[in-house]
Amino acid sequence: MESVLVVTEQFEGNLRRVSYELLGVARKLAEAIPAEVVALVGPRALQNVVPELGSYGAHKVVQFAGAPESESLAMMAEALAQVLGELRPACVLVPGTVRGQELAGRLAARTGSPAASGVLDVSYRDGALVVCRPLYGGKVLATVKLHGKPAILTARPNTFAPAEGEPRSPEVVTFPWVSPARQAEVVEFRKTEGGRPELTEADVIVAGGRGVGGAENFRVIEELADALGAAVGASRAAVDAGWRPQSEQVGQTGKVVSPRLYIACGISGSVQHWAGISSAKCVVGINKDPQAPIFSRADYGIVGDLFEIVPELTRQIRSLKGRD
Amino acid sequence: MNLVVAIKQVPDTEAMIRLSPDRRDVDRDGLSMILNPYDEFAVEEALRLREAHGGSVWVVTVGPADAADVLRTAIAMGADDAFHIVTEQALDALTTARLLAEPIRAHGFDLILTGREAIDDGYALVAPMLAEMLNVPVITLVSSLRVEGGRLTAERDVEGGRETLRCPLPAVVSAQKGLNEPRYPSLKGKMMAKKREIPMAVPDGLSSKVEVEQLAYPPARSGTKILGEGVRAVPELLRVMRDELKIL
Ligand SMILES: Cc1cc2nc3c(=O)[nH]c(=O)nc-3n(C[C@H](O)[C@H](O)[C@H](O)COP(=O)(O)OP(=O)(O)OC[C@H]3O[C@@H](n4cnc5c(N)ncnc54)[C@H](O)[C@@H]3O)c2cc1C
Ligand SMILES: Nc1ncnc2c1ncn2[C@@H]1O[C@H](COP(=O)(O)O)[C@@H](O)[C@H]1O
Repeated sequence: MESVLVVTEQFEGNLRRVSYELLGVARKLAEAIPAEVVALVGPRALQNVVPELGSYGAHKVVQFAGAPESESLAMMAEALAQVLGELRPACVLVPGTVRGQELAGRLAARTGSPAASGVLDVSYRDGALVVCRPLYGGKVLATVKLHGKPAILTARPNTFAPAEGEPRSPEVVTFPWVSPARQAEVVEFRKTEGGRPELTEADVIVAGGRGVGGAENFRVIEELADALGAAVGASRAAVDAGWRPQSEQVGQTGKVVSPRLYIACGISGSVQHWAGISSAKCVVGINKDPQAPIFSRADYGIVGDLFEIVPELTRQIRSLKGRD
Repeated sequence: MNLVVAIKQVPDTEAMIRLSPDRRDVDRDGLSMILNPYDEFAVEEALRLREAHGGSVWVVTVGPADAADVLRTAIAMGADDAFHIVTEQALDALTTARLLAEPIRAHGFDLILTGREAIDDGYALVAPMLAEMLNVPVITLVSSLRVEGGRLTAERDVEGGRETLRCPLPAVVSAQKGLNEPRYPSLKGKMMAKKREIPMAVPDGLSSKVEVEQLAYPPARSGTKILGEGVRAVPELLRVMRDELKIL
């Protein structure tokens, strides 16, 4: 039987949400082909994850025996190539994360497979996978047909909804681990402190730009973010001014994000900033200039001083949540 | 150090992108082109490594005839030599990586630097593909880099934190913003670059498993609904967040 393979990604002993999102895509594809959904857990096998993957529609779970205590997908190319040789899936879905992208590139080169990253839509037509992906920072959408098996696709976190379906009891298949040759070794990992969600995975993002006016002033942005359980983002102007770290920059030379809600405060809405937020489901602009370009593409806008509007929004959200 | 940088010519980030009549490509007529911004970081880092360790910087591009411009930009910045693989076709990441891998292998290298991604087709795949083809380690998205005693130490942001990685040379890295501040080409450099002969090769029989069926403009957003002015608009935004976005 044909199969669709989903590479899941872990963080601190749990599956990242993007894993479930990709399982949702796989289920849809598996119906169209038709094929079975295979979820790969690795490098390290996780306890108790098999029934959970089953409840998201996995027919089969593949894991490795003898893999090192590592979470890095990047080191899996050799081991995964062996699985592909055996399963011959129609398609491999890989998280569009830093390590996932590295894995996808290595794997595609190894197997000579067609590869497409950052896909927004996936379908199956005339025996081939057809994907839609953005070009030119979201100014153009390409429909691309991938000839040959397996097609290797990556999708950014938050692009697809995780699909839950009728529970199954997946069959578990174990492959021996194959150690990577020529792999960079992680010598240190420093976890982001602060407890806010990761920008690329966040459901809600509150971002500030030059209009915030200084590092100290970003407290109003952080307070709104924390009231919403959101991540904090910044424009390049705010990063270049040294108010926020590079890791928070959103846009062409920063991160590409796809939250449900993006609140841009004191951000003019340049094309380069839009390149990072074009797949946000809803963009709200708060800007004192009614002519700011953010107001020609955002879904909603409030005209006015962010230092009045943002704290008031925070206050009302807190009191709403307090009542719950 | 034998440093190689793969660079690409891309449309200016501000450019209006128009589709060709058959909607399979973009209309290149009058499109203003630049060196891919991430590749500027890669070139700059190579120049700094050469300044610190000696050696040479070789820049390579795959692209149409006028893509030689970005090679000249890199020469004007200080690159020693350049090589142009000429093709008018838009290529997928794997085909590009294959075209780059051949001459790079023949030239030899201690370190290959690329940008994080090409901002036109945005694959972010060429660096790991090159590494696999050339049998060396790769570290993508580096924002800090050090070479010492034949080993490379790099830092990068990943989801959930920041990691430090180490590998022996030869290797491939891809450059992220934050790595450095690229220099501007000097006037003298530009004059000199203009006159340089750039060796080139024309590959034949390009085939790709990735077929662009159609390009389209994204559906227009429905236009901004202004909820109001100042704090008076806050209750309406809360209503949208609660009822339409189901966020609260
Ligand atoms: C190659 C390249 C790559 C780039 N990459 C990126 C990128 O990744 N990300 C990015 O963001 N930019 C990027 N840029 C820069 C981009 O062109 C803009 O310069 C930048 O986005 C502007 O940031 P901003 O909107 O914060 O600042 P500005 O454009 O200065 O806008 C500030 C806004 O704040 C408003 N404002 C001021 N005070 C208040 C107040 N009290 N209340 C409410 N509103 C207020 C103003 O009306 C104004 O609209 C890139 C540029 C280039 C050339
Ligand atoms: N046509 C090309 N010629 C030379 N280098 C390229 C080309 N395409 C991509 N690259 C390099 O690979 C990096 C990543 O590109 P991509 O994987 O296409 O997003 C770019 O920043 C360049 O350094």
